[in-house]
Amino acid sequence: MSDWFDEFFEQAYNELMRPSWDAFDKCLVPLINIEDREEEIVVTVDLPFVESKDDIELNVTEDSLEITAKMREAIRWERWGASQRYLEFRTFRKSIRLPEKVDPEGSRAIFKNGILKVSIPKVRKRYTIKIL
Amino acid sequence: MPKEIKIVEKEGIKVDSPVVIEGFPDVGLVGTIAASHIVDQLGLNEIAYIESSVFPPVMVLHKGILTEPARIFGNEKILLVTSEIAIPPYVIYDLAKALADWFKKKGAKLVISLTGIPVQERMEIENPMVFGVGNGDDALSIIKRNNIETMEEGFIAGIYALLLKECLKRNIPAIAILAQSFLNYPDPGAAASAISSLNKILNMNIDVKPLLERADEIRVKARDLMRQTQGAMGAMKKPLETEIPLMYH
Repeated sequence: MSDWFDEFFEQAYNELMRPSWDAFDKCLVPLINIEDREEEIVVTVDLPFVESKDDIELNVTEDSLEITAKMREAIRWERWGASQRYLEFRTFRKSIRLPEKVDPEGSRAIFKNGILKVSIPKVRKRYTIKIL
Repeated sequence: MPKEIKIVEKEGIKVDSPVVIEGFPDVGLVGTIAASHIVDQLGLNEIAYIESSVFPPVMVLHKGILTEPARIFGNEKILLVTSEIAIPPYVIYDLAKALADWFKKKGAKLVISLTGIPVQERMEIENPMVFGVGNGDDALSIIKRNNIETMEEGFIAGIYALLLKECLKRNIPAIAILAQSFLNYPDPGAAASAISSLNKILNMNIDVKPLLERADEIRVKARDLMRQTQGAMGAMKKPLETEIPLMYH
């Protein structure tokens, strides 16, 4: 099995062990789903409390995607967990390492009912093989 | 070897041919979200909890009070089983058997599981459709009588699939209500559709408007349970639910 496979599952495991929020940056880590299709990588992101596409910033490189989204109102947790701290979050933020090299310029995204869907085409070199 | 699972009842619970509603964490957390809303709307009290040495060593604090994560709420006519943590896949066989035994002991007349069925195009669906699965003729006739579309072909996986089977062995009619849902995201819209079908079956009027109004809040609060559940769903062969079985007649 490839190194990427091992790394992917290690990343998935680490993901579960990591808190889903960052109190210092006041941001929540959104739930994401990465679908590896034949021609493209499709990333969907759950963004409750995000009002419109204008509140979302997407940055794509050839092997990564960064999502930042502003919530329409701050989410507050009071007297929660061991620290009993007052926590407030205003933003979703997530950086994703993509499983394959992509063509950032061909990316497209839609945002509907609080779900963001980003489709990024893979960089693929195709050769036609002549049968002798 | 069977895992030890105990259902610990609070003193003085009285039931009379109750209907059981099951809403464990699963696809889109449809069952858990629906269960939590039903407890609120019907004002059900905690009447029992599920204890097992093979559950994760977790307890939950609510307003400073220590509670078990897997609990049963109810009144004389309704019992509702739910959990605030993902059920580990290695427990579900024994949990389904233990629950079905307990339902039999309580004289349950019908068991209804509320859950989601993943659909790829969920983002495009405004009102999720609901499908019913029954464990026998009685259960199927309830589904059809209430104009709920039956699922004719396909795989079902998870605790509700085993509950259908274990209830059948004990002659308890059981139904699974499957609402079209996101697989990996908490889906209050799908939970509302599942509750609407439950309303039809039980001739109740649980208002889903407050659930839909709080949808964003629920989606944020349920993220961690969804992350736990994602891990469990892979081991439960959940992706099979989107596959087509070999058909024969």
